[in-house]
Amino acid sequence: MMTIPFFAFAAGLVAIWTGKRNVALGAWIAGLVTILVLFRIHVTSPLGLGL
Amino acid sequence: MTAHMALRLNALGLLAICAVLTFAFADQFIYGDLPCPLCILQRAGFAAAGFGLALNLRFGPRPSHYAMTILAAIAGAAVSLRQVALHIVPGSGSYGNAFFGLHFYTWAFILFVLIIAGTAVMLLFDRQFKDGERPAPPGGVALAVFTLFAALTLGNGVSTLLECGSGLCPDNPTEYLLLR
Repeated sequence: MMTIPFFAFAAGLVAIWTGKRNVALGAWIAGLVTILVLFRIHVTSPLGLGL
Repeated sequence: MTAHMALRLNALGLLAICAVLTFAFADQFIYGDLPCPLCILQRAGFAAAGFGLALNLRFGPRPSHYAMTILAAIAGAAVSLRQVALHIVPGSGSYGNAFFGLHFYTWAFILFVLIIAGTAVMLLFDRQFKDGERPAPPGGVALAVFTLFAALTLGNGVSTLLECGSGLCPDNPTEYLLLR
């Protein structure tokens, strides 16, 4: 599951190279959303800080 | 600043991101420092930030491409800041190797802030967006940098697959799950 952002970006880079800008934008959005979801999944413990 | 000059700077910025990803790979493969889940997400943040620069190289500079780089760098900075906060209290330990006295996640936060600032500075120069001619696909150095960035992005995907399989990565990885 943590491979998804990299493969999405790699696919997007192929789309950039072939001139398919909208496909590349979609791949970037998918990758970035996955990063945020994975980040949320991994933020499990409260910080021992007084913020 | 002309579009041509802006593209040169974009290529330089993308090369800098390639250097960061290469350095992380070197630490991983030479020193056996396996990246933790947050470390992997920071690498993905660098890849996402570089994506906007790669779009500029192919389609010409656009504010939306710079915005993508800034948004990705904000996401990466949030991840790295979380890891800094986990270890900021003395005695709370650390993860991985240090470089010039700072751990990689601290360097990552600094670099993400620099990416945000540098991209904002690039947005100050309106003339790059007014050049009507559509730039040709990148050639020479820009093409080499684009290819290197794509290879590093794909390489990180393969490395993460070997380390974590198809699921989530362990918090403190000690071996490549698929190479047991």
